[in-house]
Amino acid sequence: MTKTYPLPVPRYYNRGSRTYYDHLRSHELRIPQCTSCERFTFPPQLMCPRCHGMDWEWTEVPRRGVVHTFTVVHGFEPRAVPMFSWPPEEYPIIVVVVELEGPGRPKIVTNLRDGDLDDLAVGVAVDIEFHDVSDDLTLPVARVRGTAQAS
Amino acid sequence: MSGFSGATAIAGYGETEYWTGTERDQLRLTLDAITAAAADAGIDVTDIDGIVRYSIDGSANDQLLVSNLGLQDLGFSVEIPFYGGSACAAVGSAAAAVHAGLAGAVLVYRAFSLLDMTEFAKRNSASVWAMQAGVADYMRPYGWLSMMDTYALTFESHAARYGTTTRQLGEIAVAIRENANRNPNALLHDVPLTLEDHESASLVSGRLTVDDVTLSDCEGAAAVIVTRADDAISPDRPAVTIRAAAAGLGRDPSLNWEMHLFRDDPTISPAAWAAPKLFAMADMTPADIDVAQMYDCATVNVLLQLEDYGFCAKGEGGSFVEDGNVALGGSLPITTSGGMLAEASNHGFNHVIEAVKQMRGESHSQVDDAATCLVTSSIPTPTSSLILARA
Repeated sequence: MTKTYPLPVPRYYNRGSRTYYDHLRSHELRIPQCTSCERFTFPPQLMCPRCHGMDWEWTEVPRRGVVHTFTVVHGFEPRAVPMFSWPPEEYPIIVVVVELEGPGRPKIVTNLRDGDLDDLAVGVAVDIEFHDVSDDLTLPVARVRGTAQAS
Repeated sequence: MSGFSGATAIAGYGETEYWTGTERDQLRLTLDAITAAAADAGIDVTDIDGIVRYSIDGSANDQLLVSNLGLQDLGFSVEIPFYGGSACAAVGSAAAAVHAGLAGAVLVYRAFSLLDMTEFAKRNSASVWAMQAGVADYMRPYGWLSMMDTYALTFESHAARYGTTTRQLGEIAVAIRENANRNPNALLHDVPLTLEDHESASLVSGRLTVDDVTLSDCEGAAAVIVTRADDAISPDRPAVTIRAAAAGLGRDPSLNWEMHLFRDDPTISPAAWAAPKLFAMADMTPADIDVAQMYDCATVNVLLQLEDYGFCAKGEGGSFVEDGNVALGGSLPITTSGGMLAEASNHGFNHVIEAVKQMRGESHSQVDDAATCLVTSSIPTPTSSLILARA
């Protein structure tokens, strides 16, 4: 049975976005790393800002990190982003910027799942899990480390 | 002094009233502000020989202005990209052009209408920059939707590092609202705000409330005329010279605007890199500034700028505002028109106008004997700033 996802999905505008989400679909978290100077750069871009190389390898990174910062989006001012309106019942949305472990400490944006808000704070350890939201899209989600798996 | 410090001046300004939701004609507003600015500068409109504008795109573009105003020999016309960070860079660019002899009377303006919040916002989300940078791929699908979310993320980072409180943000909101309550042209002129009101206001994103973020859907226009300082001398009022201008993207410029939150320390804004250049050109220190028109799209951004421009150490912005420094009568009154929080939102050009008023002694929240005024544009990236002085 086809699984559909009603919320805003990636637009695949950024040159590395297809690759990022293809890896997530395979349940792998990979970040572009410059083959010349080994710098991690995320979001992906064409040229390495450190050595000006243009060859990248998508390196698997730890699915462990800490909360870099976060917010609880209360659903104000939807008109400012007409392409990405969310249905009112989806709010509040917990947005988390996660600093991953490992070289370069790359950061990704994700959501906190399962109502862990009371455990959430800057610096808290989180694990990244894979959430298959539809047949062709997997999103990374964060769980505060040590909290129980729902369902 | 160095660069073009003191060589140019803001010879005149004009502005309309501000409204919300009236669907006024943006071109009409712009022409009204420009003719007022030219009259204030004591020049004929057709003496304008340069234009600097800053986007988002609007119906009042420079081609339309040239044809409507009947300008005969426009020799300098540039556009500074990127919204709220650009007002001071636009004035700085005009000053550099005048100083270099490229033009003698340069118009800088900003018009705002509902179109900016609707049609142009759609284009903004699909702009080449937003597409390439990955906003639509790595942020929007997770519910990071608006600039309010960006500021809330910034605040949590600052609060975690330095113990900054929402009540300290409230000090900024209240100080700026009190200024608006003295300014009849401010949209929130008759809406008082207390610290208690601020603490109980509706949440927008994270712990930021409606009183922490800019007004929206504003309409209105404002314009200034930049000339050589010698051409701006009037027997009727003090001249307002441009003592310094600076702009900056800060370090690691690949992480622009919202992606600033991907930096290791998002509490340090690009103003930290613009500020030393600015004060060096003016040959001043923060202690020499009498009043500051801080860009206030969000209270937390004011807090970061107070630190990054050196009025207090990094992390001490909260206690700085709690000690009453930024209210009228304090050591550094800020955003004396009511700013974007309470006067009108027009990407910070009202801050430039208010700085001129302070230097001429015309503000509704006049700082006694004010002779120097800092003006800032939005953070994080890019940003820009000015120091104006009463000559």
